Amino acid sequence: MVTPSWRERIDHWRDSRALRRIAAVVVVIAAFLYPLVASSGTGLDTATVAEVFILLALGLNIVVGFAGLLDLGYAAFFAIGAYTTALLASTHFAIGNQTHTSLLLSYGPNGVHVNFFLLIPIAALAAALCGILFGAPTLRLRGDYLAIVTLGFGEIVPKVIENLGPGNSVGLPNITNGVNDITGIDSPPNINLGPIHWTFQTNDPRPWYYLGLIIVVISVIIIYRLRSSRLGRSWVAIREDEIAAAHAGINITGTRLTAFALGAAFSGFGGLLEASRLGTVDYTEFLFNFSITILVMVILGGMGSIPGAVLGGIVIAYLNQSWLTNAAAGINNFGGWLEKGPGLIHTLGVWLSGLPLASAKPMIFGIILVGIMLLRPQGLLPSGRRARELHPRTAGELAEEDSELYTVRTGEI
Amino acid sequence: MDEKQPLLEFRDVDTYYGSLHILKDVNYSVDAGEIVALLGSNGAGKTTTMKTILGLVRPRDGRVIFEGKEINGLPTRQIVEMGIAPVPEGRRVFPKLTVLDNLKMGAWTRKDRDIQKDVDRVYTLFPRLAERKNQLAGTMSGGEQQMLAIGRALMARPRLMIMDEPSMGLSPILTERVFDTIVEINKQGTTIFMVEQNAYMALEIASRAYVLQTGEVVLSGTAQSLMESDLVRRAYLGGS
Repeated sequence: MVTPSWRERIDHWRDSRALRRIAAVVVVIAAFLYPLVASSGTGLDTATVAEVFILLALGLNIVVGFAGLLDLGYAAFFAIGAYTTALLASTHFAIGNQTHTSLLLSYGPNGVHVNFFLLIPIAALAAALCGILFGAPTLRLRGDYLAIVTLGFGEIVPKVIENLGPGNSVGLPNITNGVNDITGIDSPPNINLGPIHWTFQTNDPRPWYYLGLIIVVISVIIIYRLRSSRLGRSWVAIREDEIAAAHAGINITGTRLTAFALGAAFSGFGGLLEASRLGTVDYTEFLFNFSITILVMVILGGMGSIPGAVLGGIVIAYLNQSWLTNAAAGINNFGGWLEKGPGLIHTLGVWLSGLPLASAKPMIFGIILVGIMLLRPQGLLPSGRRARELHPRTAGELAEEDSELYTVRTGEI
Repeated sequence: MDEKQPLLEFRDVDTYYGSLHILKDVNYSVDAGEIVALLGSNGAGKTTTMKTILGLVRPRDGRVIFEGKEINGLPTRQIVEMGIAPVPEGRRVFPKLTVLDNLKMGAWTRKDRDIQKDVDRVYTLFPRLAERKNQLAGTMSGGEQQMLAIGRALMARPRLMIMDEPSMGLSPILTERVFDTIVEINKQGTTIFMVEQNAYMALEIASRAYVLQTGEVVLSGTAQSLMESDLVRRAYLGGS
């Protein structure tokens, strides 16, 4: 027997459903235990940012990876989710002189405050509705044309938010607070369940981390179910071959719309989490470059791959929040170490240690991306479909099989 | 009317691509239970006929009638829902879906979710597909993909199956086996309307046929009579 190469072993491992399930459980348990070993609060903060990024990557992966619709304005849905939270759970809207309070909602001179857990479906629904609103007139377009239209929507949403502030020229009341941002967004209520005591108002990042983690885990489960559902299959079918999909009786535009709406819904979760954690929303965070950053997460992880989207979100979050800074400092320190050397090495060391690398972070980011895509064009964790696609059986084998093919069995069915 | 109603009927259909007149006053009728072949050279309008049935091309004039209902002008998905399943030209399986998922796609329009029986039926017709059920369709050979395309169409439990060039790109021996299967499917009760370049093979299994030339039906009749016709022999069968 030939011993399998390590590559074959990895492929085998990847194909094994039981092992994948075990791996998923291990990852989830590790993620739940992470705060116990995380050295400082900032590490957990980065992890919480990563959770928001994961939600965004998961949502965009539905649109781009499953349905094959290039969306260059996805950050707009993130903005909708965040601003929905900001409007419905902050001191921004003062109504009347008396405060009315009920279990899930209170409003009055101190603003509208909808309960956080009620906001979860509301934020997702608001983003999904915007997905339908933007998608309905445009999803008949294909490929490049659709990309340009989504780019347009991605520009429109922040502009609308910017221009619906106080004293706006359209004569509307102050809705979004415009360039002044909305601040004072509610934190989730404290949670006391048996041994769990989560307080969101303090500087402790752990409750945020766990809340995000739970939302991420639930989202991943939902998306796995979606992918293997009838709807998920029809997304892939349309991506693969629109005409054949129409021949199978699929309503092309309607099905694409569901991808757009569901993809948007997950960014609604992300927006909710981000807005309530930061306590403030700023429309300039949702511009074109952030749409591209989300797209990078999806492509980096592997288009159409759910673990890929998760990993892509984590990598980009950590690169942005800590790794790039560490890398820059590392290079400077390395220069400092070289300075002790003789002659030319000393000169090189002085040069390296004095480089203003902190401001060159975008460049390092770019180099890392180019490097990863050159080495792994299929993404870090490509979907099973894509992976198998890269290992087709040989043409000779196929021809051989053809010759002994097509045994027609007659008889009763 | 006492006359038996055909399953599919074209009444004076005219189809255009822009200003190009493709189908000119075309009439077909396909009765339930038949295999009807549509012959013709490249550019005669065979594929356009298929597209017209499916609503991918709208006729400018005339009517397409399926089971007594006019279907021209309906969206493709509604036409498919009414019981017409296409086996498209060049197979068009979903390359990155598994064989089983491709079959499930075929049952998309079905209201009932009980499709296992039909999956089994397809596997009985094509044992090869059962062996390959978890393989990606795109990695299979042309013959296997053709089987899959036929199987996918069967999953809709169609009353009419329209096939565009089922022999395309297949070796002679494979072509013969595909045609055997078509006969078998027909015996099990599905009406078949097929476009075919391989006139000899098509006429062998068909009960009737139409010959299309530059958009006009120039000849029609039983397969036997066409087989003996000079025009067909000269143009398509390589006879003298």
